[in-house]
Order: sequence, then C-alpha cells, then structure tokens
Amino acid sequence: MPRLKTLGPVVLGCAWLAAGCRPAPTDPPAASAPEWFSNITASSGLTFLHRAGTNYFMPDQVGSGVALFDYDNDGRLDVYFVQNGGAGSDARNQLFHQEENGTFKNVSADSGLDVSGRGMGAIAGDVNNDGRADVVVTEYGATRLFQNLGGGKFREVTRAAGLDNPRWAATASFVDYDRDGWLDLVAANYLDYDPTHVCHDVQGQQDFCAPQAFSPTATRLWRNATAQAGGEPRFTDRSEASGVFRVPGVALGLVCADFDGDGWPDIFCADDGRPNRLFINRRNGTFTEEAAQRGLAFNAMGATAANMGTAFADVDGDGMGDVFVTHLTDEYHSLYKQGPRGVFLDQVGASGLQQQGWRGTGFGTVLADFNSDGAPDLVSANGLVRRLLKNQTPVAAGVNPWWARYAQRSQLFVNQGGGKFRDLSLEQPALCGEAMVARSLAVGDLDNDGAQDLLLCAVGGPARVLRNVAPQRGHWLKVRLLLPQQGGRDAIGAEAVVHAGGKKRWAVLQPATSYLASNDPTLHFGLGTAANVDSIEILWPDGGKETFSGGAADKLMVLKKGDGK
Amino acid sequence: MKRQKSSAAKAHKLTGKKSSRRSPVRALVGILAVGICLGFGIWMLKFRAQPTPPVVALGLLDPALRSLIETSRVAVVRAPESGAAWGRLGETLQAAEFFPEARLCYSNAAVRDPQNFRWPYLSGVLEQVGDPALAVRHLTRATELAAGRTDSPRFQLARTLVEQGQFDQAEPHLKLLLASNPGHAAARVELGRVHLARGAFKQATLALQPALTNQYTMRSSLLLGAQIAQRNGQPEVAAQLARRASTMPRSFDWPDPVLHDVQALRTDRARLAEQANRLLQQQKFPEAGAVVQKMLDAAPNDPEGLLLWGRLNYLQRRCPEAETAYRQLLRFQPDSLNALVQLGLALMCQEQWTNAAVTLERALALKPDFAQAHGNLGLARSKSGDTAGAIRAFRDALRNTPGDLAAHLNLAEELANAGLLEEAEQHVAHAAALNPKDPRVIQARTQLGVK
Repeated sequence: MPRLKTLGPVVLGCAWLAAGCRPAPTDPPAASAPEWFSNITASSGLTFLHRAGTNYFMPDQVGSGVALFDYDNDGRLDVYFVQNGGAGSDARNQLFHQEENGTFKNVSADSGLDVSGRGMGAIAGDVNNDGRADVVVTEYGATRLFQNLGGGKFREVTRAAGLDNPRWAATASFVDYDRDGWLDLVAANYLDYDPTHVCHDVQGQQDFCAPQAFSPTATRLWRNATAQAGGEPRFTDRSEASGVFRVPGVALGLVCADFDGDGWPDIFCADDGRPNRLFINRRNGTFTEEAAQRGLAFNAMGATAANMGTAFADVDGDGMGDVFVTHLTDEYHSLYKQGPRGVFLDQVGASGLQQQGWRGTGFGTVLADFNSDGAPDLVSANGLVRRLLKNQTPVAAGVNPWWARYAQRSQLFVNQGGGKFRDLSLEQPALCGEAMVARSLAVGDLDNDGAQDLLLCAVGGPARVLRNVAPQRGHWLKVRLLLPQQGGRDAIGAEAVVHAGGKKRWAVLQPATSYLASNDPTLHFGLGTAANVDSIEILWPDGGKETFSGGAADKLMVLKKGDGK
Repeated sequence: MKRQKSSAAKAHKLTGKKSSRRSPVRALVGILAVGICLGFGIWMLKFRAQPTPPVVALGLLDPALRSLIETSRVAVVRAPESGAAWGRLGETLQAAEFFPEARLCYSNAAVRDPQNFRWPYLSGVLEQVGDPALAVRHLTRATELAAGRTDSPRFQLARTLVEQGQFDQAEPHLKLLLASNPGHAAARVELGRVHLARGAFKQATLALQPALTNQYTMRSSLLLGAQIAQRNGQPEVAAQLARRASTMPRSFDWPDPVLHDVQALRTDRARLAEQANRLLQQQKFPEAGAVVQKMLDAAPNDPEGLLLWGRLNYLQRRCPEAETAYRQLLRFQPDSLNALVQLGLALMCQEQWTNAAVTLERALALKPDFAQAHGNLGLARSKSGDTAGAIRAFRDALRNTPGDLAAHLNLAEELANAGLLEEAEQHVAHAAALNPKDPRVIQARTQLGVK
C-alpha cells in the first residue's frame, strides 16, 4: 500500500498523459447557486401530454401553444392547451380552471373548447366587449373563434363571425389597429405546405422539410365589425384593403404593438427563413411594409435567419421596446435594440447572448423580470427541427422516443442591467436540466405571488409548470389595464411607464408574443430596491394618456381608463 | 517554510514512519516510475499521432459522396502522417455535414501540415457559430499563415469579429483587406456595418458606395443604405432603397476558393437539383438540361429529376414531353402534388382543358388551400365551358390568396359571362384598387364599362 501511495501521483500523471493532457470533455457541473424555478407540474394538476405524429408531416413539428387567461374573471389565471392530433382525433384541446387552492382542474368536457384539429396557437381577447375573454385557435387549415358565453362555456362562432382562413395559420394576435375600441385580428399565416413533398438530409435520411422548400403566404387581417352586428362577434376581411397581403411571408412569430412611436399599433412578423416583415400602420386603415429600412428584416450580418419566437420588452432601460427573435442552433438569435424611436439594430453580439453553455434552436421566448431587479431576463424554449447525430441528454420523462431525437435543453439568461445578459442555464436543472422538444412558452404569475412563472409546452411530450422561486427577488408591481367603456376588457395595446426609485420602466400590454402563446394579460414590473412607486403613465390604445399615482410596491394595481389624471 | 516542516514532521509522527532509512529506495522507485511514465508517454504520443480516421454512417448517403468519403478515408489509413489526406477527409465529411468528424480531421491535418492555412481556416469556419472565441483563434492563425496568398481567412476573421460586436478589433482587418484589395466590396459592406453600428452614417455611406455596383454586394449595400437613410430622417429614400433591394435576387456569397472547393465536393442528387433549379430560374436551358440528364442517368425514376425534366420541357413549350415526364413520375408516386399541378399546366398548354381540370381537381383534393391550383382550375373550367365551376374555382383562389389581381379579373369575366354584372364590377374595382395601371385592369374596365 505505501508503494502504491508513492506511485499514485505518477500513475495519475501517466494516465493524464495518456488521456491527452486534458480533462475529459464533460458538461461543466451545475453550480450550487439557487434555482430560479421549481417544477411543480405534478402538484399543480396541470397534466397535459401533447400528441404529434411521427411521419415527418411538417405541422407536427411546429408544435402547439398555450393560453394563460382568466376565463371566468375570478382573479386567477386559467390555462388552455392546444393539441395537434388532427380533426376527429381523441387528442383534444384542454381547458384547466385554477381552483381557489391554486391547483388546476381539467374542465374541458362540455366547455366547448375541447375541440380537436391540427392545432397551432391560442390567443385570448374579448372580441365583443362583454368583459369575457374569447379564444382564437389557429390550425393547419383554419383560424377558429370561440365565444366565451360565461359559466365556463364557449361556442365556436368562426363561420358566423366571418373568419375564413383556409391556410396554415400558426401565429395570431389581437390588435385594435383602427383604434375604434374593438379588437381586430391578425393571423400571420405560415407557408404553402405540400404534404406530399418528401425531404431528406444530406446524409440521406428522411427528415422534416425546411421552410425554404415552400412558398410564402399572405398575412390575414380582419377588422372587428361586432358593433355593426348587434354585439355578435363579427369580422370583415381587410387583408386586401389594408395592404398586408402585398408582402407574403412565412410567419411563426408575431408582435402587434407600436413600433414607430406614433401611437398606432403596427404588425411585426418573424418569418421562418425569410426576411421579417414590419407593417407600419398608416393610420388610415392601410399598412406599408418597412422592416428593411427600420433594421428588423435581417440579422446582425444582414442575412435571413429562421425567425421563430418573439419577445418585446425594454432590455436596456431606455424606455423603448426591443425585439428578441429566436433562431436555429447554427444561427445566432437576434436582439434588435430600438433607438432612436422607430429604428432597430441587431446588437446581439454585444449583449452577451452569444456566450452560451450550449446552443439551442429557440422557439418560445419571453423577456420577463424573474428576479424583479428591474431588467427583463430571457428564456428560450429549445427543440430541434432537424435531427442531430448527438442530441442533448437527459431527455425529460414522457417525451415520445421518436421525438426525443429532436430534444434540446432550454436556456435562461439573466439580464445584468443595460441589456447585458449572462447564461444561467447550468444552474437551472428544473428549467434547463432535461431536454424536450420545447416549442410554446407562456409567462404569467400563476400563483399571484408577484413573481413571473412559466408554462413550457413541447411536441410529443408533457407540458411543464415552472414556479418562480428566484432568490432575493426585488420589489415588484403588477398592473392590470382595463377599459370600462369596452366592457371592462383588457386594454391590449396599451403602454405603461412605471416611475419608481428614480427609474422609468416601460412595458406594453400585448399577451400574444413568444410562440403560439398568449401570456398573462397583467403587466409585471420588477422594481429592485424601490419599495414605492411614484407614478404610472398609461398610453391607452386609443392614444389617450393618463397618469396614476403609485404608492407602496409589491401589489396588483387595477387601472381603469378614465380614472387617471 | 517553517509551517511546512512542522506539518511534515507531524505527519511522520502520526504514521510512525522513519523517512531517512527508506529514502534511497523511494528515490530509486521514483526514478524508475518517472522513466516508465516518460516511456509510456512517448509511446502514447506516438500512438496518438496516428489516430484512426473517424467512422461515420454512410448507409443512406448519396453514392457519389459516400465513395468520396471512403476513398479519402482509405488515403488517411494509408498515409496517416499526411496532413493533406486528413484535410481532404475533413473536407468530404464537412461536405456531407458530418461536422464533429470534420473538425477532428482538420485538427489532425493542422498538426501534420502546420504551415498550411487551409486547416485552421476550415476549423475556424466550422466554429463560427458554436464557439466564436475558438473560431477567432483558428482564423487568426489561418490569417497569419495565409499572409499574402489569399484574403479569405482575414475576411472571415473580420466577419466573425463584426458578428461578435467586436468592431474595434474587426476594423483594422477590414482596412488591411481594402488596402491590399480596394475592390473587396464585401469588406466594404462589413466596414459599412461597423460604421452604422457606431452611428457614423457619413462614413458608412462612403464605405458602402463602391459596393453598390458590385453584383455580390449590391443588395446588402442597398439594405444597409436604407437603414442609414431611415436613421438620417430620409424615410422616402429609405423606402426606395429597400424596394430596390427587394427586387434583387438574394446576395451571392463573396467568392471563397477554399469553401468553394468543399462545396464542389458535393455532386449528389440534392446538389444537382439545386443547380438545375438555379439554371432554370436563369433560363439557361441547355445547361439545366445537362444537369437534369445527369440526375436521370444515375436514377431514371428520380422524382426530383423527372419534375425538373418536365419543368425544363414546359418552360420551352415542349408540353407533350413535359406531360410524359410528369406521367412517368405519377406512375409510381400517384399522390405527388407537385407532379399533378405541373401536369395540369402541361395539359393546359396543349389545350386539353377537361383533362387538365380533372388533374387539378385531384391536386386540390390533396391540398385544398393550393391557391395557384384553384386559379388554374378556374381557367381550365372556363376554357371547357364550365362557367359555374370556373366561378367556384376563382372564388376559392381568392379565399386562399387575397389580393390576387388575376383571380379578381378572371372571376369578373366569368361573373359577367354568367350575367352577374354587379359582382363582376366589384371584382374589377378590387383589381383596380390593387393596380389601376395594369393593362388587364384597363381592358376589363373597358369591356365592362366600369369607370
């Protein structure tokens, strides 16, 4: 034994030499830093398994979304999951109601929302100004509207409402583009898919086709005409008259908000493998496409990328919204910083977002202030679209083995202030420790504790509920913006500036961002050390401005149009 | 030191060992062990100097590419000390998108052929997205080795730095490139990008000026110019530049002889199909024909080859030949949507309206939202006298693609034929709103007497 002890270091040295004088390549061990999220899926009652085919049918790969909304106005967020099993399938969309104790109960049966189809996204918004959030579901071959009748019942009114979209609709958003007080609807259609077209990778194996194999399609815009229909949901197709059809695209991501600072909402489409489009509202019912000159069409190197998920928030605290767009594993994501107002520049290189523990194909993405320090952090829900020879492990339990070949780990980046990010993924086993074919990602305060939680959906696998348990969170303020004149519905499109601790924090109320998702319609502001709010300025969707007094932080404020100064 | 001594003494006390008596033995054992270790290390290094070339799954690979990889691998086995052989294997693997294996080969090539810029260059290009810091190291080495022979490594290095937002580090490389080659339009574009990021619009405009006339950089220069104009408060100029750029084909990649060599290794069917498609778009029919013929010689029933052969003939108005190609394909792929739609066109070209309509209906059964097929079906039905059917088809075309001027006008004509003049006028009005100067709109207005 003593001899062995003596020789130990020498033997180790030899072994080190034999191993090539460098440590064996492994993932760096997870740091002991506290986690920001806890996986509470099992205890939450939100059990949802996404079903998808395994025959390289492209709509399967796009995934399906989720909507966070309070359908019964009880003050707690409910959840609506979309399935992708096809018409007539027993895989039906699922509605979950949040009970008083914070758990979720499946209330799909007889809700009217438990439909089947080639489901893509879901968005919530009150189309007939009755104070109840209605639901739009996008599908491969349809855009469907479900009217909220109250009492947990919904009725499909697609045809009666005049919504006719036979195309593959992936992403949709509500927007009051004519500022008449009624929510209009945009469906940014995806591509002109040929289901008989078979694709192979360079190595000869069948795989999903790339979007470049197919033609782009026209974006659809419907003007809300419910006022003229006696309160029954009704839309008129303005795709042609508004001019949005003129520049077709391949949209997966969508942000409807004011991009040029004129107080009128514009339409940004993140186009998969094509230049992004930005339809600027001409304030007369028409739009012109201006993405290229405003710096949003291409990535930092002037190239087109696989643009998918979108997030819109002020990452550097300059009072203007910045756009984040996710891309493929072999591309860099884009962080288009705004400045001056109305023009953008992809500054991802200087943001720290290129320094990553691993690369991912990002779909759903949110910019939300998880640690409430006043700077929005970033999450990217990752999952491949083309098989890798070596995929990431471990794969989360419940993922269909066929789809496991496309699984990747998601990522979390902390905003260190001024829009400089640091990859925190290695320290986040609950969010980033297991690979999934993640697609849709929704953010919201599920448990009303003032911290932003996450709902992560995956192709061919279970959804995951992630409760925010970030340590040392700062003070916060939640703001719900309501329009009493419009039935008390959420003021989609409104912008808010919170003044606290000598700083301004900007946000826009647009739940339909990320990817095929609808987020919590309540705005959340991290205030850091500021325990008091000085004031809140609101720019309402109709262009009106009001200021509300603040007060103590760490609470929900419900601000109604007309109540401010 | 004092503390060290005392702790050693403490240790000896604890174990009860007497070091003075055993030290010569220990020294001998130590020397022996070091000798063994060194010998083992040298043996290992030698062993490691001859690593086995990577093995990849070639089963489904295109025969041409498979044979290339196999031949290159054999060359490495025969001459494991040859940097060129390792590099060549790396290139074939990169062409087949076996990237980790290609990386390994380039790394072995660089060890054995250390003065050749090519291997660190290709390694750098492979790392550009995955590990940009490593890419910069490889490309810096390649730039040093390439000195004066080719500017590709320096250009890629500069681009990588620009992409990382390291503008100050990128700028000297771009200026060096332009000093040695003032016509390096791609370097000008990158310099313009650097100036734009810094908000130096005048300098950006100056840098971009010569790149505006270069076919490789024209589009990207116009797009950067549009951004500069918008930021300069000239939205009309910006819109004009963006419009001009949007009418141009995608920018070509700046010529790179090394990457071209790698890409040229791919002679598989997918690459041939890409080439043929590009040539057809450029209406270079004889050249396209040669490429498609090559595809069909290798596999006479190749679906892509038959589709391209049909398209080639159709574009030259040799419609019966096109029809034959599509029918051949449909014999073993009866549900090929593309073949059905193309066959419909080939039949229409021969004025076989009823057959064309039946074929297009089959296509639409497979894909009901195929706007182009609805439009063609409308025309075929119209020509075969089926006005009601044509109206339905044109309506469906517009349902799927709003703003289709031709569909509006065709529908208007059919509606007029059916006596539905009011609705016909509405569709002419739609078309006029889309483009009042279009000669077809003017003609339709005249025919219908619409103001």
